[in-house]
Amino acid sequence: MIEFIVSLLQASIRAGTPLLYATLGEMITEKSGILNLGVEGLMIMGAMSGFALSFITGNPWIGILAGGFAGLILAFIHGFFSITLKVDQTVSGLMLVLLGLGLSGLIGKSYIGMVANYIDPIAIPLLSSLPILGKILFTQDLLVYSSLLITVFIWFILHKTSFGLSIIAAGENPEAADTAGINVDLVRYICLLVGGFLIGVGGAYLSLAYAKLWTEGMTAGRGWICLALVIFSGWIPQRAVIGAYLFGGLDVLSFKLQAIGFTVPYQLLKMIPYIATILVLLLSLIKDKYRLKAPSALGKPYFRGER
Amino acid sequence: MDVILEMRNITKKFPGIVANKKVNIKVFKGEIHGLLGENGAGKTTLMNILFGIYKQDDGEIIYKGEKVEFRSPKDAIKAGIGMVHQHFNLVETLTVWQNVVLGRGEFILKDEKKKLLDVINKYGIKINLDARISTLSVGEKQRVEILKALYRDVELLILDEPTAILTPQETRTLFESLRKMVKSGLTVIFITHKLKEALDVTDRITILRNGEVVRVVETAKTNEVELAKMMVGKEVVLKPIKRQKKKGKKVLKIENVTALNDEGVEALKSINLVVNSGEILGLAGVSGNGQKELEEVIVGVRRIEKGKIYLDDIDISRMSIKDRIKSGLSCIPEDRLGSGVASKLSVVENLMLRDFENYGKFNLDFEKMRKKAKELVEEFDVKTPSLDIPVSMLSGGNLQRLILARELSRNPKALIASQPTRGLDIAGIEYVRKKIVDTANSGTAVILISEDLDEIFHMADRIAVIYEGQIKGVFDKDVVTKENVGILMAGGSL
Amino acid sequence: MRIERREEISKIVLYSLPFLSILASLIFVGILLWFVGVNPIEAYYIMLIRTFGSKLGLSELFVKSTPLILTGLAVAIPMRAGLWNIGAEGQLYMGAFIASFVALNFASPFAIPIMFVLAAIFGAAWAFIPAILKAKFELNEIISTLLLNYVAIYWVEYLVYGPMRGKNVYNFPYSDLFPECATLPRFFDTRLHLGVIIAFLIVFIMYLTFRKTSFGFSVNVVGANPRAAEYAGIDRKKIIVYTMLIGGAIAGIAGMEEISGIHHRLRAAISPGYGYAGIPISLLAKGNILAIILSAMLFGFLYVGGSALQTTYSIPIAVVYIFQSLVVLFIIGGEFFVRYRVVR
Repeated sequence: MIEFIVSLLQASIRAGTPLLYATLGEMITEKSGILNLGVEGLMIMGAMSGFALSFITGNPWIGILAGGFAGLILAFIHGFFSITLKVDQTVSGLMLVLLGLGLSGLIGKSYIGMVANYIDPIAIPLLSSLPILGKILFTQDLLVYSSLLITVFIWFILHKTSFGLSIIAAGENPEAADTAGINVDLVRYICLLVGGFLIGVGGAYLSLAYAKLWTEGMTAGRGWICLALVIFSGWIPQRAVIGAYLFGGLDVLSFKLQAIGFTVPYQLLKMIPYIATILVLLLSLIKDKYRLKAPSALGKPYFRGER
Repeated sequence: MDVILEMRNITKKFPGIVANKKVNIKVFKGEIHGLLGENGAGKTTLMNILFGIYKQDDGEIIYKGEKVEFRSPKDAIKAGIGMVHQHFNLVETLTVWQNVVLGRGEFILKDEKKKLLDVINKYGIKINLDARISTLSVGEKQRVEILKALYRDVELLILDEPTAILTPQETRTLFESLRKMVKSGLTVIFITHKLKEALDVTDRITILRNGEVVRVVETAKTNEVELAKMMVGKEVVLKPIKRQKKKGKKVLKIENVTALNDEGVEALKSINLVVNSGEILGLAGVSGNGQKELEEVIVGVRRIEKGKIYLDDIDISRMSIKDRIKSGLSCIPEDRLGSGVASKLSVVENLMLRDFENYGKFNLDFEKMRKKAKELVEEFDVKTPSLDIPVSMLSGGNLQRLILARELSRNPKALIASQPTRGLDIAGIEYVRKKIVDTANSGTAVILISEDLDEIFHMADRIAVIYEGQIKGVFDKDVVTKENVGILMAGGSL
Repeated sequence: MRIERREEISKIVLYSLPFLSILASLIFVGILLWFVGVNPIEAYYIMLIRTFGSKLGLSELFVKSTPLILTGLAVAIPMRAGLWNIGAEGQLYMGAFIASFVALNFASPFAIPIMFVLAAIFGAAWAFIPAILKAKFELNEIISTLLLNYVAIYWVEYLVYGPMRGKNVYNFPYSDLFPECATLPRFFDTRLHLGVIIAFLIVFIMYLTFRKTSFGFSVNVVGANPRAAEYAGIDRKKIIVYTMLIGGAIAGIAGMEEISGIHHRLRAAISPGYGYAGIPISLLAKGNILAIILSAMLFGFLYVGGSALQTTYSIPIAVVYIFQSLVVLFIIGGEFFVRYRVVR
């Protein structure tokens, strides 16, 4: 029984890591006031590009970078529409989903069923030999560890630096930021692109470390779950870790239960994360009805001088 | 005296209007320069050009002897110009000091409070640096804005209608701080449409009308009547209002009403008000003290936590909005564009917003609706090129006439009029006031919510003062002074 | 650099924008095709000839456009009230599920009408969940409608792998074939079925509803300004729920028509993203209900042509998604430059 729980928790962290990257990416994007509904599209492009580049170069780390840049490029398209042209962010975000699914399907066709080099776990000396915790926490791959560092880093930027204040101001009251001499569009572009990169890395992690293969549509709605996780974590980076691992756990639960001979049909178990996401969203809304922590200017284009 | 700023031949056009026509203005170092004009005279546009928010179509700006062109507020701030807008530009979730250092400071934030405390002490500004903006009163927020400018070492400070949201007492404190500032070498441009204040605080005044400069005067050598004439272009005396005083029956009764605001905090605390038929009850108060919530609670878009509202002895506090309208409630909402009209829809559609169901359920009679709309447009003198254009194309005054047409033509039993003349020109103000008074004369019970004490004293029969969600007193107009109402508005007691 | 509103908007450019956007997207997708080693001119020629070159192709155009017309409506109607129904895909699957259940268990002369009604009810019920959550708790309907798609799709997958798997299907994830009384009649020896006509009929009814009734009027007000609607006594929450129910019902009918008109059995992948295609279709039609027919036919052509490409070059049908998203992006980008200009 303990062995089952240990392996479930270990796998939860692995399954939660792509979610964590994408959730953090979307979170800093939203903190600056830009709603990028295209997470699913960015992730799938990251997954495809990451796999393809690892396959071509033989180096999975180049794959991870490529995944990040794929996300960044799609994010840039969103930026062009939502920041430069200031059009409806919902529409351009939704179209990114379709664009990402289409492009990854078309370009990724030749990589289906291929084998590429993957990211391997690293056991941290000493720590990994701790009982129970060692296996859960310290036998993961580098990207798991770095995702936690990035979480701390984002928290630090937001709360301890003047750039963090600028991000919060751009997301809460862009006009205030503007009149304080902050270049709102630039701040939003930076957050969107960095966020897009992280989302893309999340996608690449999926194909290069978690699933270790590429299939069309393999993100299977994870991007949307991440959008919900941002709300669930109340735009607080450290809470995203909890949310991501929780949903990673739900994701692997079906495999793990089947492995120990549980007989609930696979498809019904696969529904759990989606239903759970809705329930979790609902709970956070009811709980925080009067303290909606979303950035006030989220999703609203900022036009200087047009009030 | 040194000229610190000169704007020459500034012209700025917006689609449909010319906001500034060859405007010339000269400001001396160390003075408080008034920029006086009606709403829409082009004062704010001119200053927004100076501050780098808009770019002029023509003309040049000479600042401290050099020709300058500010592409954004950032450039203006760098050059030593600060602006406090009518709407505050503060980030509500951050603290006072965070707002002040916003856009400045080292990458890693350091404690800047010492420098801030120096500024605070120098000009005698009262503010708690660690308070979150969302917990501050309007007057305090304004101080944060001024502090922001001072922290950036401004030499020229622009204040856009700074007193509009202040109580008489807060206004006096502000004027004292301003005088301290100019004494230590700062220059202030003071935008206002209130004659008395211009006379009170400025050294010189530039008067704007319809986007053009009328004249520049020295404050000491002018008077209220002369200024008013220049500002409006003709002799204006606000027409006295004809009221038919009848002691009517109680129409609208608000009993112990408690309600929460959007943050879940009690915004109305056991409010009691009675309005009789044919009576105007003026609700005075600084904005943000529960007026918005009161409007919403009566209309029915906000839930009542406790208490009851009666319209003609019928309890409407749990009724649907539609049923309240049917029982004779009308509303001129504070937020005209947000709550009063659907700006993408046409004039006809907006006029029919409440009554379209009377024109058929499955086969709407558009002909009949147009006919009725045409009558209303004529009766209320709404100036529109067509009945089919979206109302976003109408001016503020015409928009308000459209709302009046829709709300008053239904002969309501009770009317909530919230800030009905805000942002209108003098003709518009007079029209709206007359229509509301006519409505009261015909027997409607009216609640007039206004931040403009003059307006309340001009129109109301009785005056109630709201402060932090409580009614601090209800008086007959003839037995109370503006000064006393001001004290109550600021939270004091008599 | 500043952005200013143009004083005069060129009507000609505005109206030709959709066509220019379609052209630009064709060029863009052409470049992509060339990139993956396909001659784009040849590919477009194949798409055209397979669609318009034969009776079969033409009939397929209508067959593929039918679900698209319905999902386009399923998105467009809530959109009129300012809501995003990203869940037409799931609503379609729920309609298909209940219709199959009726077809396989209650064969009778009344099977077809019962299937229609129940499919509409189940589609609507599936849309009711996000609608009520939006109305009661302001839960973001984009996320909730979308997540429910996956639940519906896995539900149908579960059924065809489990309780509803047929007896004579050689282990394929299919149900048995429907009895004849539960399939929609077909015409001209093609796959054109009764559902095509019904789809057009539904468009017409919806057109009248939004043009003529006071319900349509109130939906427009809510879509234009929900707060003003509330002040005017229009129950915004009711409108949210009603428009989503209508949208869901129509998507449910699309699901019923697909299995009863085309597949004649329940199977896993009923829809190649018809529900998602409803979003660009509705955006392209700009909320104009009659225009949905046109934009759905355009996308129908893409699906027919896309499957021709699939068989000829084995290009995944996903290429249609690329085209869909590009058309919309070009339109919103183009519209911006029609309405605004960039001033230096």
